Amino acid sequence: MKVEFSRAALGDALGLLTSVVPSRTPKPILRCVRVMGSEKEVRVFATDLEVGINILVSEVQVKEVGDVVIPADRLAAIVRESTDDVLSLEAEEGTCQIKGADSQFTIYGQEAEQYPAVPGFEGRADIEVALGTLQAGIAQSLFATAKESTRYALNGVLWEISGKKLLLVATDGRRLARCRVNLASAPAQETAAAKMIVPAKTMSLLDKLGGSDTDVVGIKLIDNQVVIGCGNVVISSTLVEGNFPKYEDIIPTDYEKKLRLPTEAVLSAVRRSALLTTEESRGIKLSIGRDVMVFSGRAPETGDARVEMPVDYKAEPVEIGFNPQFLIDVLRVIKAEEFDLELGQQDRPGLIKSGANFLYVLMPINLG
Amino acid sequence: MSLKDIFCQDNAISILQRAYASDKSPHAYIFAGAEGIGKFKTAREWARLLLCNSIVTEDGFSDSCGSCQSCRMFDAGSHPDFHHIYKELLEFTTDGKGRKPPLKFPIDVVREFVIDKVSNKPGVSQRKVFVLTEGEKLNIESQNCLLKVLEEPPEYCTIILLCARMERLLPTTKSRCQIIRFLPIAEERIIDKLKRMGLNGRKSQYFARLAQGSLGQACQWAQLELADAELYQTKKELLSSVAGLEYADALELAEWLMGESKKIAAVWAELDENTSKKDISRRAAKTLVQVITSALHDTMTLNLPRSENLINFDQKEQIKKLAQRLGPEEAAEKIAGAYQTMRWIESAVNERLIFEQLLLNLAVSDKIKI
Repeated sequence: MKVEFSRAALGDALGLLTSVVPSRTPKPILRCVRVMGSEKEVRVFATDLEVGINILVSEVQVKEVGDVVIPADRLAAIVRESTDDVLSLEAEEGTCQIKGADSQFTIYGQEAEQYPAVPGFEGRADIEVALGTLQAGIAQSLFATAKESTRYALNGVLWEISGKKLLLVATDGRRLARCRVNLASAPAQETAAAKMIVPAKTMSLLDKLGGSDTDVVGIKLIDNQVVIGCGNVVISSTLVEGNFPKYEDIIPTDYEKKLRLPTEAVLSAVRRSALLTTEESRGIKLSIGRDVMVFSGRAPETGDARVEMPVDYKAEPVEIGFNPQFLIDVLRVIKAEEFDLELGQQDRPGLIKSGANFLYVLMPINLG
Repeated sequence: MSLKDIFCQDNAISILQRAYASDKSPHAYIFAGAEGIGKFKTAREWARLLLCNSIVTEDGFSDSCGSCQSCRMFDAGSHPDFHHIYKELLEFTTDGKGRKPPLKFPIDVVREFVIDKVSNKPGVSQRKVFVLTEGEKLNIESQNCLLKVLEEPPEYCTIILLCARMERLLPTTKSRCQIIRFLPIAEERIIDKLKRMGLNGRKSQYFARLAQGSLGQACQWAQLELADAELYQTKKELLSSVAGLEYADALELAEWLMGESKKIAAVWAELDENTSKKDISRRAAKTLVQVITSALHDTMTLNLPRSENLINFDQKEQIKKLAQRLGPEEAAEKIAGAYQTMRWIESAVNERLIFEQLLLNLAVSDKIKI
């Protein structure tokens, strides 16, 4: 194989690619990338056997077709440190030479046939959605997934397609985020009511994709895999097994204590009142009375904090405790200036809404 | 290599075949049997079959095709749905960087390589297979951590635990799996194999008998022998000394034995870089204890009709000498003691003390009665 690359374009591709390559693995071949030059194009692949990525490299000139598997970290470092605009890569029988104007690197690779297959994007997409919208949706749901749960389904984000909408739902059992995303076009017939759970890792990779907000992301469901194509990049991922909990039932619909709050100010108030909480008694109290709301935190034997905020509230006073981190997480991802808070009794979950598309349910904690 | 090429485990394989044919394969197995008798090989080939996308069935015997995408990836060692889990994987866990290979099967490995992985659906095949080697080293925490997955893994999962010592597994672990027993391998087969490896007839026969049906163990010894560890020479000297061992010489012999054990361990460590050093020195010490046990065993059976099958057929004189002062019952007692010694080695008792104790017990004890 003999290919000439633009260093910048190859660097961009490798930047995304290396985020998939596992840093430590018992299978050395997974620490490599596969560079495949065909007559028309050059593609680079990486996989950790769960998530795979396949990138079409732009600005290349193929002089000779071929295939090579070389260590990802070495290649990325060479491309990063080089000063040339154009790098040429030659491969023969597993040995790869990278040449710049004044430099030459030789890397020993592995056998290309042994590299696990990474699917490409073939045929028509089942679902299409604009990149910007999808990434906004990911930002508003991904944070709520469980980190290590034996309830497998909670370790991913549920994708639920209904009509021209896509619902992204994530929960860790104590809070739940749901975000509604508009699809770019009506989904194919067979996927019109599809459900799947996508691993958190894949979701965060999607979040890193570069491109303009209006780029369209194509999504295909094949057996147990989802293949996502966007511009030059194709991401494939296995899905998470299991039944996602029936989350609709826990979203309260009968609340009457409602108030509209400014996002920034509440975030600051939560942060300040959380300054005096401890690991053991992690919780802040929200006391809402007539036209005033008080955030208070208490650390036993250390002290307490109290932040007041004027609000427009006329209903019955209420006191409720929450984990401040769960509030901070959600207030960070609300883009609107104001949000709605709805509460029931002290022992029922709080409900946060932003616009018509975002909803967050969080369990209260008992402050004793 | 495929399932039909595995010899001497016909019983185990036919159980697996019957389960497969009736479409009722359990989701969790324990392959039980001594080390080195083909448990891993069978598990591997069974996994290859379960993962294969175009299984071939001939005369009621199913096997993987060897040519589909799944089989090719399997052979290349990059199959996404085959997970081989061993305790040395600790190095590849999140906090495992730079940690030494462990002696026990740590819970971190179980969490990150089993629990976290079962939930992802298979990528290439219809199923996913997890093979855990050295199941007897799973500590209680690790076993408890596995229980949930063993009880009800996702329907596409098959989990195979390999275990050489069933008493180390919790009843809760055992009751969740189907147990398949693996039997020792016939002596001639092992001799054949060792001869093909390049060992001479005498040594082949000795190691084959010493291994007591464990092909893997015999092969390891043969490799050591071929790498000039002088295991056979050590055995000969050891037996000559033990035969007429005087009380006064026991400590000196123990000292020498310790040196030999270190020498063997050093060669062993070069051959097997992935296993922890400590494990290897334990194996070396155990090998020497096994040599002594075999001599005691011969002493015990010397007067039985089938005494031509002595393990130490090449040192019959020494065995006879030993038999003069140890009756069959006494020898049996000493064998029990030797097995106790092997357990001590596993529990990290000081090696010098172990050898001293063992040899003092074997010395001529006419003059001093304990």
